[in-house]
Amino acid sequence: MPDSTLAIQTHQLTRLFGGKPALDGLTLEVPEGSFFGFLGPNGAGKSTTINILTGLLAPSGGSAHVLGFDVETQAIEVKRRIGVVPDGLHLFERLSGEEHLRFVGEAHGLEPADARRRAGQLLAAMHLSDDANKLVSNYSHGMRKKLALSCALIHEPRLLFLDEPFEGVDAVATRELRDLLQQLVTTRGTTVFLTSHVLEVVERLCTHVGIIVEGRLAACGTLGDLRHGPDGAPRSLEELFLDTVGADRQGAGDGLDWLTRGTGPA
Amino acid sequence: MRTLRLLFWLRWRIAMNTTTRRGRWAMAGLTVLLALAFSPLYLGAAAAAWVYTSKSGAPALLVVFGVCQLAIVWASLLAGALGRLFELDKLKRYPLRPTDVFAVNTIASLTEPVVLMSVPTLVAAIAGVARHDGTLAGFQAAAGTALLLLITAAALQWLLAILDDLLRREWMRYAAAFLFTLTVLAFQLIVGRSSRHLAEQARRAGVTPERLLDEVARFFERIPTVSAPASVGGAHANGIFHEPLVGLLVCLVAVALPVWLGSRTMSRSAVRNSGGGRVRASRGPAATGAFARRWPGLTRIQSLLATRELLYLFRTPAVLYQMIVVPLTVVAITLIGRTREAGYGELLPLFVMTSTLAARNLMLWGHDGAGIRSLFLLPFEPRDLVLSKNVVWLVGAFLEAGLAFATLAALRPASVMPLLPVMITGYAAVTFVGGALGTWVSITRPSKPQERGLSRRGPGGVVGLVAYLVVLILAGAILLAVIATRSLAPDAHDGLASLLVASLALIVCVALWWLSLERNADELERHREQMIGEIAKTADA
Repeated sequence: MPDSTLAIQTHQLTRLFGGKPALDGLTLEVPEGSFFGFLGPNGAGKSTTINILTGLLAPSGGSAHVLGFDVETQAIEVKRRIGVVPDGLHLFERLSGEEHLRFVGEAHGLEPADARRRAGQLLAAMHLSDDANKLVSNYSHGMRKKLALSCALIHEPRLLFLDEPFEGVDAVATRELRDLLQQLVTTRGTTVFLTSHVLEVVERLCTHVGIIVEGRLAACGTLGDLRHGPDGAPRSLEELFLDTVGADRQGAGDGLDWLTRGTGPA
Repeated sequence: MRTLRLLFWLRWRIAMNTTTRRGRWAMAGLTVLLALAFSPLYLGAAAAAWVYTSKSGAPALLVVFGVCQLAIVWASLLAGALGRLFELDKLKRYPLRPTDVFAVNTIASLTEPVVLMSVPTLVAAIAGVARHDGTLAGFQAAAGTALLLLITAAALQWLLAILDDLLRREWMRYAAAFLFTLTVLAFQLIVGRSSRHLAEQARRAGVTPERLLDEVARFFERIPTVSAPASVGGAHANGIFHEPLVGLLVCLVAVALPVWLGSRTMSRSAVRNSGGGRVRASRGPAATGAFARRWPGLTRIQSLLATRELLYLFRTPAVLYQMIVVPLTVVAITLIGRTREAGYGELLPLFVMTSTLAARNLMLWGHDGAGIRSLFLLPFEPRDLVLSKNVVWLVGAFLEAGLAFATLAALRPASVMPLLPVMITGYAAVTFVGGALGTWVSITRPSKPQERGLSRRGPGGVVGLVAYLVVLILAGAILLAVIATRSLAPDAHDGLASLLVASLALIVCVALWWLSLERNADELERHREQMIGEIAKTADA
């Protein structure tokens, strides 16, 4: 029975790719209204988790509930209530930015007039009004990111999945987006599930953090609790992350003498 | 050579890593089948080349080379078989010279099926020359042949580079897709008519095959891309090409110049930004209240999806090209066949329309590209997705058919009008089954279309061939049922009886299509991950 206070609840979630587990019995609980940072090294299973929770991938085992709905049997109900900025974006290239937003808005059941009004407001907020009638195929990476975020927000979702939302976005836009996301969590109670490799961003925004390593949850809790090490001493998120994933502190250049020795390129 | 080896290794690894052993065997089997199917054409040409060169020696190379070059260029243009193995866009981050990449593409294009099919003819010509003039002359003819193929390949690659450069401008792609087809067909019409006219004139003037061959040889003598390699091959053409050395120099220029110019064009296009792709607000859905107007018989969500499909249809040049090319072909065949025997003008267009039905929607989902992932992220029922795709495809197919049938009826009213209701009903029946079949293939065997140029080759392979055959068999079955009914029914009721049988077939086919929606929706759920993996993936080198 899903817990109504949890936005995301998974139990022994498993996903195999060619017999190899990308997720290996992931049990995760994300409280509603939290800003949850989901961290892990490359290939740890972050995107696989998001893809299962958003209904793109079927789990090989275990269960997953999003906002109380089973992601396998009630996928449409889940999709109605979430907004997603996926890794790689994957937008409709042959719609204009405005058409794209209105299409997504109406797909989520907004009245056409509301969809049009909100599309205009979001485009203005994201500084995309001048390019509203351009085909998405002609958008830059940063513009696509902003459009994807607008699409994720247009229907006022209760839960936002953001896979590397700040990657490729300029500093000004990043700051604006960060403020907007914080407002959503604090004033509207929206839950944000965010993955990012930029630990400073996670440290600044998130209330809760989960660290996944090789498909298993290695650490999970509030940021405040996790930042106290086993000896009770405070530590940075970077230290917590490195300790959790078990990274050795070997220098990147070790074994690359030909590259790191003093002589310059020929 | 190092670049050549490296690029071929890259292509080889990509091919091996992205295909299954079963798929490779299936492809090999299909290639053998196609090679056998076309064998009368190229083996017949080879026999003719052997006879001609054995009798006339090296001078006959002018005609053989000219015909082969014309055939390669023409077939490549007509079949959309222009292609290149390596796109500079995907290699520009590496220190490779555009000229090297272009040269590799030129050499690689010699393995195109169209070129390979001309090889038996050219080999037969070499053997014929060797038999007539000796082994040394045979070697000389072989050198000329190699140069001919290189010149032809370089010229085609240059043309491709120009086309690709033009087609990168978004607005140009719409116009080019249409004009290219129109130009090819117009030329076909002109050649078709004038050749008949010439043949008639020649027959009346008492022209013999020998005299005709002389005329053709004199014509090709004036074309440097033919007469220069023929001169190297020992044809001793008149004028400047009498000396093989001059021929060789011209050959080298004819290879080097397109490679140089083509590589410049290719490197310029590789860094070209797209020219716009802005949607006029007054013509897009922005002008109306809703993104989508309600389609008759469809729900709000289905209408929303269908409108997006329609926008994609008109904004995807490859789809537009597919839509335009069939009716234009039908119109051209009808025009060509206007003066020919009865049956040709009605049956051939119908055959073309029917036989292309199954193949045309094998890419039903492929043109969504990366957007397919967004489709699956939004709260749409799989059945709504399948239905909207099918509705828009059917609208397109019926528009094409409308144009084709209107042309047929206008040009051949006496023979077409009495049969028109039966033809339309029967064709509609086949269209519904073609829709269901194509949807199933495009879901269970998703593939991504080429991102540049015109149509290139569509997907298909063994499954495409089977789908093609199933549609043809169904069309044949309906035709046989109509013929059988007409022979059994009293003459006075022939028309009514045929229409009843065709209508019955239509009802059955519509029912099958309707039932297939549910089945295809289940398949969509089952193959969702595979579709995202295949269609949304980034293209590699």
